[in-house]
Amino acid sequence: MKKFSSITRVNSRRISQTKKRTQIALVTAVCLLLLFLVPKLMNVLASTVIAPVQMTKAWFWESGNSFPQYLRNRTELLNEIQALQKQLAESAGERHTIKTLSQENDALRSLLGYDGEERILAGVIGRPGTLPYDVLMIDQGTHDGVQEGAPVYIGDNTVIGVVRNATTQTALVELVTTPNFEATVYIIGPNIYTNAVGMGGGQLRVGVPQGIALETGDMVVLPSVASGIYGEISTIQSAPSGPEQYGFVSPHTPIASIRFVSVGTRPMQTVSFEAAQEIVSHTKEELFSVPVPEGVLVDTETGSSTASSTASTTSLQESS
Amino acid sequence: MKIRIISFCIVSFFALAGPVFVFIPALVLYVLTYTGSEVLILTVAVDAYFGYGTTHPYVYTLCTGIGLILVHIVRPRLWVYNT
Repeated sequence: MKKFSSITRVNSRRISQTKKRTQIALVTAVCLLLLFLVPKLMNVLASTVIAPVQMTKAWFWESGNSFPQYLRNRTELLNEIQALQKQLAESAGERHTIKTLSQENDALRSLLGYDGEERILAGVIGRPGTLPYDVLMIDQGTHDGVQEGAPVYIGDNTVIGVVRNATTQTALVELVTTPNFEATVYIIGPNIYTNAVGMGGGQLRVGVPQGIALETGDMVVLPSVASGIYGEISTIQSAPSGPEQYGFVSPHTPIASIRFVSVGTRPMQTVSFEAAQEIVSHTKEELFSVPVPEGVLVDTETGSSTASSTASTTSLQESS
Repeated sequence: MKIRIISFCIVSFFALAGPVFVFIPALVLYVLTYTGSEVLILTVAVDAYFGYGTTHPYVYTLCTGIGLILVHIVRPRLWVYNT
């Protein structure tokens, strides 16, 4: 009885499935027949359903009305904002690169741009910290025109040392701060000549008697070198009981961060006191004078200032 | 049943307005899931409206009909439907 029932169920399911397939085939056939026989009528019927949807779609995407246009523009504007933000980020990166390159260019120009004499640009390949002594190793040698005894500069006119030894490809620069390196210096401020001694680590020490007004920020010049400013006094060590005071001089650029230097083409020569005085006065002039254009500068010697002063005098006389 | 109605509405929307590359996958998915012959109404409408006067008319109805019958035949043999 049970077996008969299960057979009947399977058979009935099979019949129903066949029936359904026939049903689908019939519906498909009828639909196709209708489409082939009365295509126009079917098209009209379908149009009544689809046409409004299509019209709405066309209205939304292509209409010139303000609302769909607003929605379309909003999407376009959002896309544009995204594109502009991306562009902005890219240009910020480019600007940073340009700034960095420009700074580097300025530094290189200041190294080579000194008018007084021709110089050789050199990269620093070894400095205190990586080298055992207070020296710099540079990547230019005798092959490039570097000579022993030539002064070495950072920036426009800051002397930091002398070429002590040169090979064909490299040269060793002895810094003026090498321990026990002695040099005659002129301090602008108290306006005195004195001796400076290297202390190592980029520091030079000047010793003067207690009565002399030494101040931090006083410029120190090496008169043995034309345009030879070394730096400024950064610290003063003065004990009231001691007979002398010491000023420690350091260059504007720390030795550890120097990447390029320029080397003079001629070795340093012995300078007489008269020549040294001339160098010092020239350096002082250079330090305190700024090249002001003629139209901007107001001076008693210029014609414009004379005219203005005459005018003011006249007006004063009239008012009185 | 509710899900089936919602699914049919979505397929209908894509049939009437949506892009064809969304409509066809949606139709195939619907046929495989429910094997309902109601999709024939949709395909007839699409064929009648868009296929009228073209060189390959009524291809959607034909393909959907054949697809439905095939799914009906294959369905009892596929284990995914028996779970």
